[in-house]
Amino acid sequence: MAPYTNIPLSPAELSYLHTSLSSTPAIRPDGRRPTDFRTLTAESDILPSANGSARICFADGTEAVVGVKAEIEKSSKSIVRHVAHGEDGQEHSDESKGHGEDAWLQISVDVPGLRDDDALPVFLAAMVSEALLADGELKNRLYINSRFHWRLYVDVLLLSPPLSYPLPLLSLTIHLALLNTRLPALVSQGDEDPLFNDDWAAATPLYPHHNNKNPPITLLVMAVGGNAFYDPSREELAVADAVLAISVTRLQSSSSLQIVSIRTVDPPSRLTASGVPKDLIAGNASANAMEARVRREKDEGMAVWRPPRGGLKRALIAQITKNVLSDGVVNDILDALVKVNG
Amino acid sequence: MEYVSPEGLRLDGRRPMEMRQIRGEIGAVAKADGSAVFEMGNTKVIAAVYGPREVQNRSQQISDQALVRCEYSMANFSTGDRMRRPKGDRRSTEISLVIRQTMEACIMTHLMPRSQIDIFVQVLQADGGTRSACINAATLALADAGIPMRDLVTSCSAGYLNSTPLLDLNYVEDSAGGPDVTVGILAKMDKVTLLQMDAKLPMDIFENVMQLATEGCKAVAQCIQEVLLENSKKLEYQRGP
Repeated sequence: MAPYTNIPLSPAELSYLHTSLSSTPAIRPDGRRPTDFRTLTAESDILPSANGSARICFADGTEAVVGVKAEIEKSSKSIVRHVAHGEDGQEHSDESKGHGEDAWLQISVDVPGLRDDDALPVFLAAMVSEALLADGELKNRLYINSRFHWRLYVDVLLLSPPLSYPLPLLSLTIHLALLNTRLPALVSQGDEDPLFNDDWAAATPLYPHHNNKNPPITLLVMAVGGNAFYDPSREELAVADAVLAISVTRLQSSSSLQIVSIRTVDPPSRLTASGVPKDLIAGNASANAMEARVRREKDEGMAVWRPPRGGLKRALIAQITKNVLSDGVVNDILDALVKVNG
Repeated sequence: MEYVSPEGLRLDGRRPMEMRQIRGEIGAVAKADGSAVFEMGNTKVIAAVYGPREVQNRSQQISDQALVRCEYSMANFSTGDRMRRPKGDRRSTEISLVIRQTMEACIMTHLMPRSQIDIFVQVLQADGGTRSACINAATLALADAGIPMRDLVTSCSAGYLNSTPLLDLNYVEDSAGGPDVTVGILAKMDKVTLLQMDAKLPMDIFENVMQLATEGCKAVAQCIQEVLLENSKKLEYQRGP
């Protein structure tokens, strides 16, 4: 992801933030607990002409609108043959409803001031669709019969220029829009040309309410020292040791959670300038450049700010993933979004 | 095709001189200096204004007036069939220019030299009359941003189908290929800042149609004034005594 280099913080401020975030208990600049989210405004079903739509506004002023549109498309020949083969073969049982293809879901992200083919929008679209396709649930719902399928277009509009990583915003808005999405009810049966009920009130939701299964959401979790934080703000990201983008979905049978994908995100903290120890600048001209560099490398206790290097400890990743599944934050978010949809 | 029935009703049940329902709302984008949503029937537009602020590209700076920029874009999901719209295509460039020139006519640019005002208009739902809706939304957003203006610019379209002048065309009427007059006026000063027409019309009929569109603009102006007044009352109430 294209990094944000314009961090308006000095090495001293960065060091202060890092120290307070890595102390136990951690102190966040806005007084939140590590698991707290900032307030957000969400509304769904804002566009009558789309199959599903949602708008979410985050506390830092970033805002996204998502419109979902579905179109009928003829499946290519290869699928027809594949299905015919499956019907006289043995693997019929769980394949009859499982013929989704990744290409049936198309996501585009529109960021103001950036071109369509810039790195950021393309990367964001790929990352979001990766999570949505990971559990195979969505694409299988787009299957109508062996000759036809739905093509789902998910168009994301960011209304404000991105201040920090807009991934959670996009993911939550897409989640809400997909919950809100309805497809016309099918009247025809089997492999006939599909015919639909033209009554919109009879349309079936893409994710039925009685069914506990939800589209996955992607959250950013930031690690500083031994602490992990949800929903990091821009200032917090500036001192992150590591940032993980974790996609979580809720299983149908029980209400237990499942991680569908994890990615590490290059934090903007790596681009910050490191500080210089006081005794190296205050009139002590004897120290040469070589010595200064050695001193800086050996500065284990982080007396001055130094951009984080290297990766994340494996134990910490394990800890974070375990917490994401068990601490109830994700369940709270999913429940809240279901309530928004009404 | 019959666009006006013998009983004098249009396809969506309106009378020829009737507008669609209009609705304006201020403050839709939290981060912007001024923002507004404007709806005309099923057409829904969101506008955000940033500025006056420092000019980003120094070579574009004007020493005696403000630089006004406008970006119009249409969401992929805004029309009936979903369409892929690359940024900066011919149509959106043209409408950006139209909106910019119309808004420039009312902004007192000489009061803000060496600064820049950005207007972003995004069409969320398109059902005819998008450029009118964009201009109306931009006016509301500029007023919300507190940018000094000579007057409120409002816009409305009118057409001529089945030998009848029709006010505020929707998408079906717009795509009939008949004459389509879009007018933008400074409501109180009674001056025209925008006049566009597709196809041809005889002079005497054109005057009627334009008159109708101007009446529409005045109705929109009244609505916008009410929205602004309501917003000012709300702000005053929030500020307290």
